[in-house]
Order: sequence, then C-alpha cells, then structure tokens
Amino acid sequence: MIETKDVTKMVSHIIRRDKGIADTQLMHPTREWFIGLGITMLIVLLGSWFCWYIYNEYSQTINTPLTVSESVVPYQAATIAEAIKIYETKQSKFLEILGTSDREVVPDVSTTTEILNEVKESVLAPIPTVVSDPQTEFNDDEESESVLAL
Amino acid sequence: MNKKSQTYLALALLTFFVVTTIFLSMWYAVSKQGVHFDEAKRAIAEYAAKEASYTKVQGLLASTEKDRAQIDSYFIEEKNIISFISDMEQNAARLGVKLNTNELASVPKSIDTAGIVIPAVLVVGFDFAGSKSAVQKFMALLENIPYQNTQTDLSFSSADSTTWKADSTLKLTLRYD
Repeated sequence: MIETKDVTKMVSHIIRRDKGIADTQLMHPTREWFIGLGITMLIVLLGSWFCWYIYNEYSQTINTPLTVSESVVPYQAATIAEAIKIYETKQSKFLEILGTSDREVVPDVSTTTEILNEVKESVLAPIPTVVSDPQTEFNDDEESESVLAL
Repeated sequence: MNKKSQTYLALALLTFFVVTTIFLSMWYAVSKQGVHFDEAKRAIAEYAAKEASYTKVQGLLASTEKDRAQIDSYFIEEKNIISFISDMEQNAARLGVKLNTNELASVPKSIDTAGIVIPAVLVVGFDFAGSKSAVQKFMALLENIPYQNTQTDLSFSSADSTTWKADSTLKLTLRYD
C-alpha cells in the first residue's frame, strides 16, 4: 500500500530530476580560476605582511640598544680623602710631638775663616817647659752643686 | 570533473602544500635565527659592558694607586710589630719616659654573623713613667700614632711629687690583603 510518505518522495524525486545537477556541483572554470587567484593573492598578501612584520621587528631590535647592567666598582673617594686627611693630621702631630722633644737651645754660632800665612819653622818660638804644677783651686759652691746634681 | 581537471587539482594541491611547507620551514628558520641573534646581541652587550667595567677599574686602580699606598701605610703589618714596639721605646726615651710593654697579643681575623670580616687586631699594653709633661707628651704621642688603632684603656696618676705613671692599651688593626 502506497502511503503519503512514499508519494511525497516520488514527487520530490521527479522535481529534482527536472532541475538537473545542482549549480554548486557543476564546474565553472572562470569562477574556480578567480577563486584560486583570490586565494593565491590572499596567501601572497598575508606572506608579504608577515615578512614586512618580521623585517620591521628585527630592524627595531637591531636599533634598540640593550640595557645590560654594568657592575660598578664602589670607590668612596670622599671617604678615602677624609681618612687620608685625618691620618696625615695625626702623622704631623706625631712628628711634631717627637720634634719638640728634639729641639735644643743652641746659640747662634758665627764662624770666620782666616787665611793664615805659611809659618816657617825658624820663626816658631820655643815652648816653655813647666817648672812646677799649678795650684788647684776648689770652689765650695760649685762642689756642692755637683753633689746635688748627682 | 574529468581526468585532466583532477590532475590539475592534484598538482595545484601538491604545489600548495610544497609552498606552504617551504614557507613554514623558512618561518621556523627565521625565528630560530632571530633567537640566536638576540642571544648574540645580548652576549656582545654583556661583553662590552664587562670591557667598560674592566677599563674603568683599570683606570681607577691607576688613578688611586698613591692613595691606596698611603692608606696601606696606615695599617701595621704583623711583621713590623717588633720594630713598632722598638720605635715606641725609642720615642719614649726621646721624650724622657720610661716605657714598659706589659701586654702583647694578637687577635686573629674573624667573620661575624652578618658575614663582615673583622680584621686581625694587635693588642699592645704600655705602662710608662716620667715627669708630668713627659708623660702627657707620650700620651699625646700614643693618641696620634699614625696607624689605625683604638685606645681602649688609659689611666694617668701621680706616683710621687715628681713622677707620674700612666697605663694605656692600644688595639692596632693589622693589615690584611
């Protein structure tokens, strides 16, 4: 027994057969060519853009200087100068203390040089001979002072 | 689709895949080279920075040689301890003071809990006697010893009407390299 469902199926089959093959299933060389050309152009454009992007990125990388932290050696010049000044002062004071103890009262001495004439032997006077020992004189005051000093 | 179209399609697909593969492989190669370039650039920059630091340090060493030598001379060396004491005895004699070294000890170098190096210290104790002015002068001399030191102890008293006595302890920092 034929049902409504089978009838509908048959009708739709007949209608479809009349239409023939769907347009999408048919080959259109011009259309396919342009689609292919479009895809190729898209790929070329995307590739060009990517190449330009990479080129630009590396150009910027080359021109951008890298900031590498440079190790700085600490040298406290002001502190060193201050320390040297302090110790120089100490040293000069040290030498000054030692220097003052060395200072002795020395009277000014003026020296004169006389050029003597050559003396002949015959001119020399005879040395007198000592007849007797001279009397030794003692001073009481001087003796007492020397004893105290001892 | 006839046979010829299928062949063209296959060739087109093959060409597409080959070109895509070449493109991707080149992309990979360029990226890899880029990473190498970055590494090389960083290495060059670090080398340049190190070279600059080295030049700076060299210049600093040359320009501060005199100052460093002078600072060095303000630290007594262990080998000079005996000559230092001998010098102090001579200085005491010059100032009219009788000097006696009553303590001589060396405290070795150590590192505290914070990791700071505490240099070796020479502990020298002196007692000296003489006239008041001579003792005062010698005390001033001890205060002005041109070596890095700390005077930890100082006492000054009169022994009799003419003689004064004093005790002093010095901690001299020993030079270390």
